[in-house]
Amino acid sequence: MNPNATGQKTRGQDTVHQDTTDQDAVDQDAVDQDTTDQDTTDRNTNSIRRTTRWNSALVAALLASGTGVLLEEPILLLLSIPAIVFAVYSHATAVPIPTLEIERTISADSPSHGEAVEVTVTLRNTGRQTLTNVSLADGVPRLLAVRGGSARHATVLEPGGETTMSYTVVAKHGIHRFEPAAVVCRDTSGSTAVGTTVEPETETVLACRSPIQSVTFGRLVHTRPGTTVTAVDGSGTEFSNVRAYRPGDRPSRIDWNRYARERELTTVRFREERAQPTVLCLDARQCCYRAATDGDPHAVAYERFAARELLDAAADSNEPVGLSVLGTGQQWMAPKTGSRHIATVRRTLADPETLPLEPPTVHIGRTDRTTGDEQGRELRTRIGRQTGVLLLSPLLDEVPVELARTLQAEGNPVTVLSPDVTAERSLGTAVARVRRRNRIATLRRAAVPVVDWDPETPLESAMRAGVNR
Amino acid sequence: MSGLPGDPEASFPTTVSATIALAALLGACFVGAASPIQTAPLLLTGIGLAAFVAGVVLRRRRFRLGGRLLTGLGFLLAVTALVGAIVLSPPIVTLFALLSCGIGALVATLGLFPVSTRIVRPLVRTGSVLVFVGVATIAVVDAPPVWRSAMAVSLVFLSWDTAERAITLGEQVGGTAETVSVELVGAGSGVAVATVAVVLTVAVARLPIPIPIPVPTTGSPLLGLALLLVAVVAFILALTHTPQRPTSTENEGNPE
Repeated sequence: MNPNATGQKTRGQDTVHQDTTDQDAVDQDAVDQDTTDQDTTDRNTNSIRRTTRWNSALVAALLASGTGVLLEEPILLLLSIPAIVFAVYSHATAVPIPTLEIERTISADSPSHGEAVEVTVTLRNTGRQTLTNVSLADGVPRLLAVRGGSARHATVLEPGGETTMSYTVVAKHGIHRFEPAAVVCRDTSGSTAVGTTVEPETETVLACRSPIQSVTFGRLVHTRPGTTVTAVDGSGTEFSNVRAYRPGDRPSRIDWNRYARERELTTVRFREERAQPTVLCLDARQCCYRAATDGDPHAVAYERFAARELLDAAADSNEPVGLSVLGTGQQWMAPKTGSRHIATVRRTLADPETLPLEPPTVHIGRTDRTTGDEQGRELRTRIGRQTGVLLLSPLLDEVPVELARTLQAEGNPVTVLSPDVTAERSLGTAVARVRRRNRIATLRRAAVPVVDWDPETPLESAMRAGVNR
Repeated sequence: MSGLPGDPEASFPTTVSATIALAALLGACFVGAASPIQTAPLLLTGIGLAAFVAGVVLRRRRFRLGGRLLTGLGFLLAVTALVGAIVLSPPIVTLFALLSCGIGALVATLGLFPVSTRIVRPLVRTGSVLVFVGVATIAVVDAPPVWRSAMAVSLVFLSWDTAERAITLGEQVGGTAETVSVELVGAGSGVAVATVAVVLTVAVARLPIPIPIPVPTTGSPLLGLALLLVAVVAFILALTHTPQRPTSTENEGNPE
């Protein structure tokens, strides 16, 4: 696989890293876990931390010399000299000044799900100082697992020197943006650590798309005859009535047979077809942050991906789409059409506060069930009577089942799209898989269509199978 | 930010630096030892620890059964050698120094080639301290040549420095990442500093310190040298705790 053949190449320099305090809180520096005193300062682009580990050498020197005086043993005094030399060494080394550029190349920027993508990263020292200890961690998107090689590297970089590392990630459904690479430079003695981030000039994006072309919301959600038909007559295809011709009626709608027979102009009217509004309802409660195996995306990530593809399909067919997110804080957007609305929904789906990549914290006294029940009730009060609901949920508990059945009973056409994140690794996971299948069966018995989506298969084929079921 | 985000896949200390650190620590034990009654058990302990290390490396390379066997045998040999030293019943001070060195090397090995990565740093620190105490005790009790004791202590510090680097690299980039160049450069500079330390210690030992006759009752040359060392230590401590301010030189070359 040639990384430069089809892939995108990005290159860039250090980026400003302002809030060292917060970052230090998040990025627990294992090196400095043992330090009791540290001096962290910002130097425009870098954060500096001076470790105090060499104080141990000073303590050893003091103890040895003190004991030597106490015991009147000159040899102990002499043996404190190596300790002092090592302590001086920690101050004799220069503080590293990381001036770095990075290039990142991926072998395929639009891979299919499950395809291995080789990522090649080149880090270049553009400064005039030799960096004797450069540790690099590339900003691999959180939902992509590294399968071959390591996304981390440590090397020595002379002025103008560069190092290249490569690793392989397995593409998963979704659009994955690489984050800036984190770099820590240490001096030779390891007494000073300078942290920074290095970002390519252009963003590296791995887009693993699965566009939906042959299935519409109309086919997917509004499938039951009689439930979503409008009462307004118009220019559809279903016959409505016949009335006397009025000037302005289209000639194609004139009943010419009747005119030939009775010499009377009449206009045939058909029931008007209107695209029915649909709400994409994402189940993003804490219990939905489950993955089939370690390193695989969780169900909420798959829900987000499916919602994004469905949104694009709805935008193409100009169908009104709304959004509702069940989670720690409910998000509601009423169904509308228009590019601006679609863009807003798309931004909301990408917002990490609305759909975080990590499981949200459940407040004390609240459970996923109470949250789901309350937000389900709120959703029912907000949506219109014939608004369709496409509920995206892994069906890992009873809440989405009850919500779908209630909505269906209240006259809202409901279809459930359920990414399967269950596995059979153990007895517990096997039981979870059986219970999910039982929930799907319960929904289908209640006439709620369910698209059971195995994320290893394309989304569209799963939807087509669900529609034709 | 002065640490890399997230955790690497295999966060055990990097093999090259860990091996150098262990070799330096065992070297400190041997160089510091003054008599065959100390060297022989330490040699057996060293062989046992080498087998232990080989077993751990094999286990990491998926040779689980052979690795476990070698690890167990090596550990057993090391412990047996130390127990044997007790059975030989040497003088209590010699035994103390010997056990301090041997147990120190054993504990440090458990830290450098861990089965669990939880208590790596305390193990290495404890092991280094024990070997330092053992070497210093031998220097006082058996009075080997100064260069040997100086070299032993310098090797202890070299071992500790290299072990810290191994642990840091393991925690930050992982044992599977490419780290050899950093490890070799770090170890090389450590060896250079240790050499300077040995030369300086021997040079100071050979300095002619005039002893006034009669010796004044208010002090002695030993106390004077001790005070000088304390002054140096205090100076370095002051340097350590003085906050560093950015200078224009430091910012040179930064894009913004």
